[in-house]
Amino acid sequence: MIPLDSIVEISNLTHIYSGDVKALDDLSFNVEKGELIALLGPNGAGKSTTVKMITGILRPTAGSVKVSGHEVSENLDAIRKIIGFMPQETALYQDLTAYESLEYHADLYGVPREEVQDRIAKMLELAGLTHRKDDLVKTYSGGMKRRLALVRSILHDSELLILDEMSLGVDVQSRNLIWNQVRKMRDEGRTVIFCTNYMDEAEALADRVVVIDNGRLVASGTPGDLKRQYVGDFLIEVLLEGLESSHGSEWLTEKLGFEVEKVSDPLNGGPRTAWIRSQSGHEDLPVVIGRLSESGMTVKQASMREPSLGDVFLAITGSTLRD
Amino acid sequence: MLRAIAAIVKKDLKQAKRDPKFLGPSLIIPFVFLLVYTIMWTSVGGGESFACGLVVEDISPEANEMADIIENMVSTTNHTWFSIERYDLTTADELYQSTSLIAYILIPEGFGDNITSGQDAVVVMLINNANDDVVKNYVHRLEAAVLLFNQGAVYPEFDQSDARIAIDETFSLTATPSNLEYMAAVSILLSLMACALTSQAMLTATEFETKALQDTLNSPTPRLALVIGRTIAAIPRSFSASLISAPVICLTMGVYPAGNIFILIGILLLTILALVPIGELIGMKIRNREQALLASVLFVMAGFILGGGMAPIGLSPASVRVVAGIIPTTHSLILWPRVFFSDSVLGLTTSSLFLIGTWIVMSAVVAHLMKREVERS
Repeated sequence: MIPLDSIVEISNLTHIYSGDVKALDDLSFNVEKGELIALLGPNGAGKSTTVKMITGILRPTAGSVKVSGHEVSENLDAIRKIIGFMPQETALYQDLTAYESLEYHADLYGVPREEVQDRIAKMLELAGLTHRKDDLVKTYSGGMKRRLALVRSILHDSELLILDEMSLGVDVQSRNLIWNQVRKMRDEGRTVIFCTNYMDEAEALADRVVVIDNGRLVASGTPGDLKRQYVGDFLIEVLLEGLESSHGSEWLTEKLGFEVEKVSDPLNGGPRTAWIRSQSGHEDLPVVIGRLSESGMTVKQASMREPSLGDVFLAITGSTLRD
Repeated sequence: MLRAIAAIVKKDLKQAKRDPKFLGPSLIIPFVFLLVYTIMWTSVGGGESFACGLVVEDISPEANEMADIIENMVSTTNHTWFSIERYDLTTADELYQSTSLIAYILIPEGFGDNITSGQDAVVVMLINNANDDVVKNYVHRLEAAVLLFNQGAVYPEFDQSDARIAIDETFSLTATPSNLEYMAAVSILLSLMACALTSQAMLTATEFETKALQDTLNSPTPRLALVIGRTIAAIPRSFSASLISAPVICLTMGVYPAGNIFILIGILLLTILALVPIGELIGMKIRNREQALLASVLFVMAGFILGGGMAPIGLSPASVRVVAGIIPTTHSLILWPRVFFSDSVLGLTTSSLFLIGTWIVMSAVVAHLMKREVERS
């Protein structure tokens, strides 16, 4: 039974691409109405595959994806009307103007004729493209194209908005505008799911973060919860001399009595950096420095900060390259 | 659905207007073919070795003498216009009806008796006169054979009033075009074929390359609306090249259609309908604008040559004819000159139905592939 306020329910979803590449492996999570969710994961983790499943572009090998209580693969046309999808590639008709692109989209999605002009004007305003509405899309910058793609995905008043790498390759100004629009959509009651590789984007926007790795769900929660659960309230960063190269984070954890997340391993054999998890911050910092000194190491530099989502991400998925 | 179709048509036509590069091949290919053909025909002398049948039903010495002359005559040019093969009447007639033989000569029973009794003896020549230059050469060959048989008649003042035999020439059409006129006419068709195929292939490849088509494919628009919309947009786009090439070819070559203009437009329309989904398929599979252009140009040129655009295919090996028969351009090339040069609607049904069938089948294939494109398993 799907809870009444769930707009997306993903259950035991598996997808195997040709060549036996398992992109998703028994993935399950729900998205509540009005939530703003970030899908995080290393390259090839299965984020884009997941959103393609939700939009019906890909069919599951096993498991199910339901949107508004309907199985996606069995109700594609109805589901397409309520989903707005902005793919990773800026897929726009280059030889149309912004106005024509939106008008074409409105016709395909059956936006009431009497509303088309007003809606397009509003969308152009939101995207900051009113002054360029009659220029061909091929003359736009990358940021303008992303903004146009974003407003196109909500033109038909979509309840569920899916954004794949919404700010990929855009400048700071465009990114700021896109973020503001996404927040506004959430405030209007729309559900937004976005995939991103930018941790600051997820931290700035997401109510909840879903981390996928190797096609499996590895963590889910608010950014604050995840930080507490996987890193702690504070992260102490120390630059150390005298830590032998054979000694790693486990050895240091044993010596300090604090969990050491990782220790750098510089190629030139110079001072090494250690990241140490802490619950009480200021109180722990002098204790850590004291214990390091007692163990024969010299602390060249020490700092303390609140952990970022990037720290959480690395703590969960590790730092090994994936592609 | 009508709104979606109208939107797709409007969008496709705007794109074509703003990026008319697809017109290039449509305007270049026909004129290149025409130029090559003109040079070839005027300097080399045209096609060679068209098979002509010989049926000898009479066993008299006169009939054998006549057959020997026809079979062993040496061409007055360096080029062998046709070969002579002996057949029985039934076989020759079957081959003739199926256009495997362009012509056959019949020396009928009683030929020798008529000569010896002083009556007129007749040699019958049946010609599928699809091409005037070839027909002329068949007829001249037979005329020469008769002259030789009659011994004494000398070109150009040959007088057959006292001859022992006369020629009964049977033409199945009232008028036949020359090779250059024929080539001019089919060049107009070639221009349209190139435009229909390359424009659709380039458009589809571009839309896949830029992923722009995904927005349309991911929309709730029915696939049928998509296919209909894209086909409707392809019609005026494909005719656009003909608006330039047809008047230029007609005026420069002095060749004008003799047949019903509406039927001719109908043939062009059927050609567009059959080729557009093929162009869509090429674009969909290649997904690169430049490569799609090359592939579609190659398809058009191969289809044109294989379909008999430059030389009759009736005498090619059966396997080649089978392959040619399944290519829609072959059927357009069958229909177009037939109506262009005569005001006749006879013999159009089979090829018209084939083109309609190609349109329906290929459109269904394209619709299915597009559906798979966005709903992959």
